[in-house]
Amino acid sequence: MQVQSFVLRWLPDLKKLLLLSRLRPLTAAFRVELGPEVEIEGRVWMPGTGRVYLGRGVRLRGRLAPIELRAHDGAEIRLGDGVVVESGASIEATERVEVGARTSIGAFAKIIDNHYHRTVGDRNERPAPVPVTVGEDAVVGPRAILLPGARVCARAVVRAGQVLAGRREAEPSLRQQSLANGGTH
Amino acid sequence: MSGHNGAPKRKTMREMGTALDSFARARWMLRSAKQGKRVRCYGRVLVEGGTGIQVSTRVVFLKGMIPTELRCAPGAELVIGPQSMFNYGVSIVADRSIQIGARCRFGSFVQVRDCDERRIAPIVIGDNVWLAHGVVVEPGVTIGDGSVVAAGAVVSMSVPPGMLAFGNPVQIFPLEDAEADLDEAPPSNDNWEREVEAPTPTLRTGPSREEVRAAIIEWLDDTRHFGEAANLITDDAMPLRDRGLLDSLGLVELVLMLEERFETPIDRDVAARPECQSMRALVDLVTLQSPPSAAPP
Repeated sequence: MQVQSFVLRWLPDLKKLLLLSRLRPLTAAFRVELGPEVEIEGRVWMPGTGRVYLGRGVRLRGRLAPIELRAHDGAEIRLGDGVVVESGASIEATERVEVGARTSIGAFAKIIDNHYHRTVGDRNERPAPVPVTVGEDAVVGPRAILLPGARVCARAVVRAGQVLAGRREAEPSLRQQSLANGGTH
Repeated sequence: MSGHNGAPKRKTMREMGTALDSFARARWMLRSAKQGKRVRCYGRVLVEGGTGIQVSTRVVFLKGMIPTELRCAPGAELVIGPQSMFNYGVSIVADRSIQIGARCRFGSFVQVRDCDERRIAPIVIGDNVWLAHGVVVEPGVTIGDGSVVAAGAVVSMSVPPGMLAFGNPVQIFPLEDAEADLDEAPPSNDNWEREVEAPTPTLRTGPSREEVRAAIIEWLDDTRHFGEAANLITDDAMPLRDRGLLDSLGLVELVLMLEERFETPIDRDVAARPECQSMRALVDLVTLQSPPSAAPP
């Protein structure tokens, strides 16, 4: 009886470890710091050698298409408590990408902190990264693109397909109202 | 390969291994297409109708969540120039002809197709063109050498060489201007979380709001109020027809003057709307070329 409950209690964690490790044998599990109650559905793809922090109760819902969390060497991706990431979303960090607590990231959204190529001059050269910050309780809509230096305020909404370039700030919207009316994220 | 700090990175054994099998994978994935030497595939590439597809030397297809797709109808041609690079999820569909130049960069989820429900028209993409993440290229478009298409843009008209295209509908600016704007030091704004402004377009080269405002006041001074206009306009949201500042004929003259001076077309119907007759709305009309979204309170 005791053995059984032990297995049941640890089963989700074993599953997490298996899921993460299937993506990159063994090493992924060490690069990822998981909070309690993290839920991983479907596939999550984590190439790169940087660190990924998933806060308490983060949900990665990669059933429809895999989720990409790519932290390059020495970079850091930090998802706050209760962040929900939908399938096909992709976060790439060469320095730092931070997502605040309870924010949701829509399907096929893209967050990058580096353009990877120069617009003028040698296209093989990689420009310096500009960290991206998404505030708490924000919504990044499906297929939205956050470019380097984008900063999304707390409780702001990035509309579907919207492109946020450097140092642009999304406007807050009726989301506060919908939260007050008992809406979910 | 070099990092952003400029130090050239040495290839590890593992990377050399993946480089070797990328050549083999390219041979296999693109087996039905004509391919040049040293083509590399790090991930999956789906090829359909390979007889019309020609992949030149040293083209690279990167690995990712979603495979890259190259489709070519019978009798159509799809030519990819040497040393072009493709990120994952790129979809290229040729019904007649798609020509891609040398040293192009394709970001993830780029879609290039030369047919839609209305027309079939060939697409030509020049050398050294960079299409960023999520760009859609519509039929009949030509993109000039060295141009950059920013993330998420829908390219519905041709882009001359050396330009930056962005947005939907697409807007085009010279690359030099855009680069100067991007290189500006970001403002040191520490309490950005509390301070919220409406987004302002950053890449415009048109007149600034101050210029337009000064022009309107100067015109009012010259024609109607003889030096008193700046004092009479106490509130930018106030309609100009209030308090006899301007009659309807004067408004038409003012709009004509603004069109001529700033060389921007202004929609007469929009300008005739009562909520568009305040100072702020007129400035918006000239600088943003869009009607104000809501009447000022």
